Amino acid sequence: MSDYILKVEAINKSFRQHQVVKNISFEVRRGEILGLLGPNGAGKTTVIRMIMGIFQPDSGRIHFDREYIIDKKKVGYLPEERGTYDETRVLETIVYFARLKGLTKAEAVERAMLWLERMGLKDYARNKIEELSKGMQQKIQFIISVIHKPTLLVLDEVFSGLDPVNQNLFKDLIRELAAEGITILLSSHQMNLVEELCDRIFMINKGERVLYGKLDEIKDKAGIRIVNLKTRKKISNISLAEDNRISNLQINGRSVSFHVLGDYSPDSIINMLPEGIVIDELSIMRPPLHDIFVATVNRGVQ
Amino acid sequence: MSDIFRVAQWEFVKGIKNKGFLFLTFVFPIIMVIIVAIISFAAIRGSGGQDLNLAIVDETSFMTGMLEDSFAQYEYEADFISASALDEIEKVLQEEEYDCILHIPEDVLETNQVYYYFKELSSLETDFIRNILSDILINQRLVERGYSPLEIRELTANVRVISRHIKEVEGGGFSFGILMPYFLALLMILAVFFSGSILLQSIIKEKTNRIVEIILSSIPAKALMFGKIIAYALLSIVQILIWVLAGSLVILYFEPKTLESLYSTKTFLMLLYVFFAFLLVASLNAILGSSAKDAQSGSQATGLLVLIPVIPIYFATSIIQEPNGTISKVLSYIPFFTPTTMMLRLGVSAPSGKEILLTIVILLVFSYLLILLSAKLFRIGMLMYGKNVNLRELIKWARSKDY
Repeated sequence: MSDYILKVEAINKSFRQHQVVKNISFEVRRGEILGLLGPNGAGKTTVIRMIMGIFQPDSGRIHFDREYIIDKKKVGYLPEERGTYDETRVLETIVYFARLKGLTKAEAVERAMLWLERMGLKDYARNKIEELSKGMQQKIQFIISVIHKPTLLVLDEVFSGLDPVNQNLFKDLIRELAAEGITILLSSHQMNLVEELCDRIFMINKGERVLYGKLDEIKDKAGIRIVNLKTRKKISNISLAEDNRISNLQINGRSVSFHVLGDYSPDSIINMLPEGIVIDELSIMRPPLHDIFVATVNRGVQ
Repeated sequence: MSDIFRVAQWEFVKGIKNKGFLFLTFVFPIIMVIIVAIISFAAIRGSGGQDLNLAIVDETSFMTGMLEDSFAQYEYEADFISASALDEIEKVLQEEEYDCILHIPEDVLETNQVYYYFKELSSLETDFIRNILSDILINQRLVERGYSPLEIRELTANVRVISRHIKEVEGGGFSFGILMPYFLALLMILAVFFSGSILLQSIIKEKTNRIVEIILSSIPAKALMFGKIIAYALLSIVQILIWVLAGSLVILYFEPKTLESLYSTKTFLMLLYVFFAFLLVASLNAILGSSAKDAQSGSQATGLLVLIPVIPIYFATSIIQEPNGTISKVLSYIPFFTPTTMMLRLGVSAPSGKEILLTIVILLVFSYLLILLSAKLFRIGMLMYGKNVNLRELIKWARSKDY
């Protein structure tokens, strides 16, 4: 058994003269949640469509569990641009898609009912899809992508358009599925959610790889610490040692925050402060993924 | 294979429940029944013969007996009345409830003239009578010129042999042979037009709302296309069968004898050709659907596609006159024209089993290849949305390896 479920090797794709994917390689390891990140138009969906076999890369290879051709019955896919039939009924629609994945009718009906119950949509099984709210429809689409217990689940912008309650529901479901051993490739713009869910991330910009690796390592590599502190008394100005490494200094009453370049321990931060300042609170954090994302994209723009 | 079956099943059920389909399938026969009823009613009123009360004044010595024999042959009745009636024709027509009076003068053999009096224009039905009288008079003249009864029978018999000959070849009534293919072609145009546009809409809809991505991530594009096209061809066949059944009920009511000739191997073969016509038009619709931007730009062209298999109707006269002639044979082997041509030929002749088999094999192979092509174009075209595609790009897609 290989240690990856999906291995993308140096794939390229052009539409007309425009190259949208440039020499992309990464792998999704068995049982992990890999975050696929990138700004709009970076080529994420194109990469996903190539993985799903909807179209072929111009060059490069995609291996699926050591096979060269993806086994469509073993993957689940929630596309970014979602549509469902509107005039068909909820249960029969789920069953149809489950049957296309190879389930028998009895299996499909049984699992569909379990999922509908789980999503709180049991009473809507006989309703037409058009009668459901958008959030409910998204739940139906989610069910369709996971009902056949795929080996690999590809979720493209799974959280977009969800309210906070449903975001949490989907987050819990994704964790559960991962715990059951389903490997997940997740693309999203909600960095806080990616941070909560993903083991590793792969980030592309303008069709090229810009970040790839474990979330922790990427944060370490960013080389920035964000310092937040609260002083006992209000201050209006502060002079810090080594101020060539300091940026984004903000003072607001008792709150002071700044970014510091390099790896700093709490002690060394305190040493940077002028004498006589009494500190009530101090936190030193690695930057959130959001900041790394924005910084990386902006660097690309320059 | 099971993918195709599942798609076909789903699309078929979805199509059956489509409101437009239901409306057309069940409202159309009602309209058809009304039209057929009106035509039949008019035909019965107009055909005259049996409905007319005919009186005959025969002043010759020889006509009455022969007329009675001839009428008996056609189950036609007439009263022979005395010559005095001619003096007050109007009164006789009124009082005796005759619709018309036929006056055969004594010198009819020389003058070749008879007189026909009638009350209303609708009673003016003289062809039948003229034919019978002509036969009798020709017969009489030949007798007078010394031909033996045997010679006369032979001569007149020859004329009848030709008319029976045509009947035998058709295997049914003359009108059935000619009308059935036209009738089926008409139904085919209607059905293919409607189910074709439902298919087109379904493809464009899946394309615009991106369901197609989920489907294509589950099954190959080929399976999707085969499933869809087969479903809609079957849907059309179901529709035609409903119509034929409704038509049969009407025929059963008016003319039960014709019905036997309706249910024959030929009709089955014609339906088979209709099925292939659907496969071909449906594939073209699928190609159109793959390249059209939205429902509107698609439906404009679908009307033209329907006409392609109907083109042989323009050659109908040649095909009917020479069902085994060069034009007929050439058209039979051009896949898009095969169904209609073969239907017309089946209507008026009996093409050899070899030809039927060959044309069906050609249709099978051609439909298969066309559906494959539509699947390929579909697969690429599906993902290019928001723009119409021109022919050059279609050809480029067809050649591309991205499949």
